[in-house]
Amino acid sequence: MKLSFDWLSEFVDLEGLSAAQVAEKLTMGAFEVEEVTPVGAEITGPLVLGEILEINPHPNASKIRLTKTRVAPGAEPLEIVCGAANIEVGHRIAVALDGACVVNRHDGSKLEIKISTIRGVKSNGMLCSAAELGIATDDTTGEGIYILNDLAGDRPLGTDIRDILDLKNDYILHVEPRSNRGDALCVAGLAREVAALFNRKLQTQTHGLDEFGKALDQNLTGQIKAQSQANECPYFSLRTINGIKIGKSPAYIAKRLEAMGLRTVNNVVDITNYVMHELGQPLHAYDLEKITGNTLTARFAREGEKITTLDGKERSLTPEVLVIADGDTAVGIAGIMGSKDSEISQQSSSIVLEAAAFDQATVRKGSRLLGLSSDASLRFERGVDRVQTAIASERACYLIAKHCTCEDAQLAIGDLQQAGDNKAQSKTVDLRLKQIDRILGISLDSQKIEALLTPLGFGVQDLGQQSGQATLRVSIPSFRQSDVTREIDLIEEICRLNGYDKIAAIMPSASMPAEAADTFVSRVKKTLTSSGLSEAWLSSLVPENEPGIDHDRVVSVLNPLSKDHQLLRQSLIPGLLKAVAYNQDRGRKDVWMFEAGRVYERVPSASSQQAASQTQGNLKGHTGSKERQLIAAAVTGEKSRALEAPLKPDYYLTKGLVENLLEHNDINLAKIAFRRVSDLYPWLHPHRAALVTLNRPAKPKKLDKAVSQSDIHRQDPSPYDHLDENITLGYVGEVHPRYKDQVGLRDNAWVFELDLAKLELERKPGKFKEIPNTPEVWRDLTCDFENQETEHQAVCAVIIKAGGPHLKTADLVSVFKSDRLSLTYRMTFQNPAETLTNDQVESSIQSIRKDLSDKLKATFRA
Amino acid sequence: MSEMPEESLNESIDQRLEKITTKALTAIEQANDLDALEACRVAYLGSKGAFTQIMQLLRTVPKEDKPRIGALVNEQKKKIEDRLEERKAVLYEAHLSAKLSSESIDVTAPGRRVPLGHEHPLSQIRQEIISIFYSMGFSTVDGPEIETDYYNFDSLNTPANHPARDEQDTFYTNLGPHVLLRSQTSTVQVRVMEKTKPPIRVIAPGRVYRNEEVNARKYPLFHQVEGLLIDKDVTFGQLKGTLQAFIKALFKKDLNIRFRPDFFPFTEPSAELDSQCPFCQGKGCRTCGNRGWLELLGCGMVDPNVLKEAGIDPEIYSGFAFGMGLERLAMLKYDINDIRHFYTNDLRFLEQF
Repeated sequence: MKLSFDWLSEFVDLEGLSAAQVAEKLTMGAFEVEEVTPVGAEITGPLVLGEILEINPHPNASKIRLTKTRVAPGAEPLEIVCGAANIEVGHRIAVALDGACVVNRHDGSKLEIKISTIRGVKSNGMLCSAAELGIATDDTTGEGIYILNDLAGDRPLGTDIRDILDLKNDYILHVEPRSNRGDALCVAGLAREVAALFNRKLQTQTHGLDEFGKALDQNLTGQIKAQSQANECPYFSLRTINGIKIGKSPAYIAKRLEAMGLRTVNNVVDITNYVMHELGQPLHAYDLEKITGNTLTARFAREGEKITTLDGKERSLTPEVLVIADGDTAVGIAGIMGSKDSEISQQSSSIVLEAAAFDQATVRKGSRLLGLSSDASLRFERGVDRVQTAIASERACYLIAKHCTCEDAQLAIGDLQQAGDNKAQSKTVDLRLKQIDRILGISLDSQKIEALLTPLGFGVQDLGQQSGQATLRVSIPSFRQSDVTREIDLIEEICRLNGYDKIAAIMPSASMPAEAADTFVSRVKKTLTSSGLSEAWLSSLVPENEPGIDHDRVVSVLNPLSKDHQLLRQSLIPGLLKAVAYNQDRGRKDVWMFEAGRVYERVPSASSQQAASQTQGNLKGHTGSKERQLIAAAVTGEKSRALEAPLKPDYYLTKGLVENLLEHNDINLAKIAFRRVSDLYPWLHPHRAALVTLNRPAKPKKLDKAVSQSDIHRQDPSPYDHLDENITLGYVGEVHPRYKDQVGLRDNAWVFELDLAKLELERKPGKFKEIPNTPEVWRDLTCDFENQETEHQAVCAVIIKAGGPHLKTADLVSVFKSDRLSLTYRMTFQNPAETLTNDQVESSIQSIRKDLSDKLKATFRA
Repeated sequence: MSEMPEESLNESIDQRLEKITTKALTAIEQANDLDALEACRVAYLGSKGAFTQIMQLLRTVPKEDKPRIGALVNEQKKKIEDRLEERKAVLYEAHLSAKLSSESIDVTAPGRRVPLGHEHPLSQIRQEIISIFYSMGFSTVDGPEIETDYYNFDSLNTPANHPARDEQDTFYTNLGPHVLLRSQTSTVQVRVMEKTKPPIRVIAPGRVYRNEEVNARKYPLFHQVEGLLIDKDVTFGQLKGTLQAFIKALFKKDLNIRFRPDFFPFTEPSAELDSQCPFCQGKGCRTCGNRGWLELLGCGMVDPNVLKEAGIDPEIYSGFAFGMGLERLAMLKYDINDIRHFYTNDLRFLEQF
């Protein structure tokens, strides 16, 4: 909230303190002041009340006019040029004379007024708008001249404008509201904090409704009675006031409300707002004539009940919403906003003033359901002290009696009509002195604690030893009973009042060994960065039209702010390819990127129920969703290298990245198989993509009757549903040319995506094997296949199986395609125990050749 | 290639030896490279060389002359071998120096590099934070991003209709009214406390979501690192000590910091850790909104209600918790002015880190 330094000084002695000092102390006392802005300081020099006597066209310009304005009683009128359209003869206005300084309404800078010639005519000053006087008003453009006929009354011309508008220098402190401190959302509440923090005296206000004794009329006829039908309105009070004249507020009220950032409406409404900001109690005034019957009742709304609120919107209510209703209909939403129909108008002469206490949670719930909040609901949600409802009502009546009267009618204020009670409840909290030391690490004695707490209205009584512990009994003032209910709440108060800086910083004592975490992901990232890929962090919230989404399993956001952030992603690839296109659009050709990130999916309900029953009693953590961490990459464009041929990506380079990633992170490539796949994702080339799987057969799906219904539902909740999810680690492939065009890629790209948790399960850090002393023997073998589709992996598997125990490696060294497919393998043999003989090697080669020709119809050249 | 000795029966063996030796030495001297020298060696000392053939004649020498002639042969042979070695050393050096000077390159030409990628700055600072806390005994734990309102709010002393819920614009999901995208990593607090008995010392880095418009300071998702320490006799003083040590380790210098009272439903007392604005040294600038201070992280003593909710007796145990924004720290540490840079993934940005 915005706090006027000047207003604050009415409640606490600020002698010798600057606004900056108060701001600093409040900040370090739990009320952060985000900014301090000066108000009125820019207005200097001769600024007086004037009256417009004549308005004539400007001889040389059509958009500006020439006024004759009198600035002192009986003085010769001055010619002043004015561009505003809203002036009329007889208007009383603020005139800045030669040498005055006002605010430049365009940019807030200082504007110095001099006698000058405007398009050939001499102008002896300036007629001021509200903005030029440093006052914010409805007139947001600041172009209209501020008309002061109401505010200035019959003050003589030439009176200093600052006296009329109460334009004293002031500072506005922007105080961050605290969600648990409804009591401090007002001048009086913050004054209490300031008084305690500076150890200054709090000045209690006298509201003195008795000054208007003649206005009080207990027997006023037509008084509206108060009734509450809900426990959520524990106190409800009304006062009927007759003989009111609606008009503009006095300048000091208008100015302070404007400084708070509020619009001024009329004197009655402004006074209710003024008292709310002063004392923290929201008030509401109804037009008496618009109320049916003689009672206002706090009750819950009926289903479908309608109300048009002050903001002009019709709202449909539900029984969770507390309303104030007259004989027929709801005239206000309790604690949030009044109805349009019962609003105070210029013609209102009688009003009903409401001051009530409403339940915090009920107001918040209503506010959320209706999507409607107000300064009143902001305060009720945070807790309002019900003891001061009547005080606030009386304060408002005092101000109304002072500022809203007229000669035609006699102001009469009725009796306070009440339902429920607003008596202070006595609450105490016991505080064990040792607990302060245990939680804060600082020991304070009871005198110190008393000195800290008393200025905030707490009462401290020393109970001596209770159950062997020195204990204080602290009585809680009514306005703090919603946030101070426990010992720890008192410890916090003591901590902040004493100063956080008074607590010495020390390191926690005994240290425990920590588990190293995250090393696998970090290692994987290192493998990829050392292969030339840079890491991206992509949004996990993706657009509603994200490609490749399985809508049966998608997790979506119900309240997205933008269509770009509507679904939770199921793959990292679309985002990566978008990032690739983004970089390509900026002229970058080689874009090699990866991300380690999560994907999300909804778990189908059958297995979700099963999951729930497995964790019976822990439904509080059940979301019906699954998150997996993936590592994915996209590469496109040649990486140029100094003095060397560029590194050109293709399917095999990308597959090589996967193989490196696996092998460098302790996953034996012998355990891995690549299996041709098509139609897996819209972004994969149907003939240049492979699943990365474990090299073991998919488990046959059990079909016997032992399989329960839920097991069937539980099968592979993954996109790879035509393959066993248990052995699928991910995929690698070229980007489909259609997808490439759709996302606007400028070059071919290749991608892979792997499940990190599954990879981690397959990790097996190697153990040292003795280095053999025997020599390695190598042989090349070229095999020809008539079937051009013969795959390396199948050939290699046959070679390894047939090669016997001493075959160490079989590397593909050349591929040649003619009418036949020719693959050449280099095989190394080694027996660590003894040197292999030529015969032994030849016999291995023979069995390899035999198996290759039997199983894959391989032929061999002589 | 071998040079046959001249047949002259008139000459004595002594004379012939002398003669061959002289010829050999001359040939060695005339050899101009290592190949010629090797040819020379073969011509005289090789198995069919001139000197070797002379030695065949030793058989014909009378018995009484044999010791003298034998010694003479050895003497002459050694003479040739020594000269060969000497000459070889000289020729090798000459050969090497010629080779080396022919191998001269431009040593200032660019190095041939294996292209390297860059880890994302958020990854780097995340890893750094994990390491710092690891050294203080904190293990790293994880939690789900799709969460229930129980772990995001209720278990953290933030019941339904608590105004603090409004301050975090939460994303709700199609998975049910109680399922949301976590708005804070504090969700991990009660999850950890339910599974682990004190003492507990963990940090939980992770992604969080808030329903906010994208601008230079805000993005609908960002990252936090949550910290939690529960033990007997844990005090606010220890919280201050731990975080001071952390800030010093992360920024590698003593920043001027302060603990400012604040309010979070799940800690009491609560504090915001501010650092004096490094851009203006506290004088006030645009980065710090003229405050002179920048918020680094929120922290506080774990509220007894949260401990109770997790089944830990607050009369025996106490603890502290803290939460920091990864982006905020990275922006401060690397002087980054717009949070969107982190998610745009422009290589011109990524390659700076």
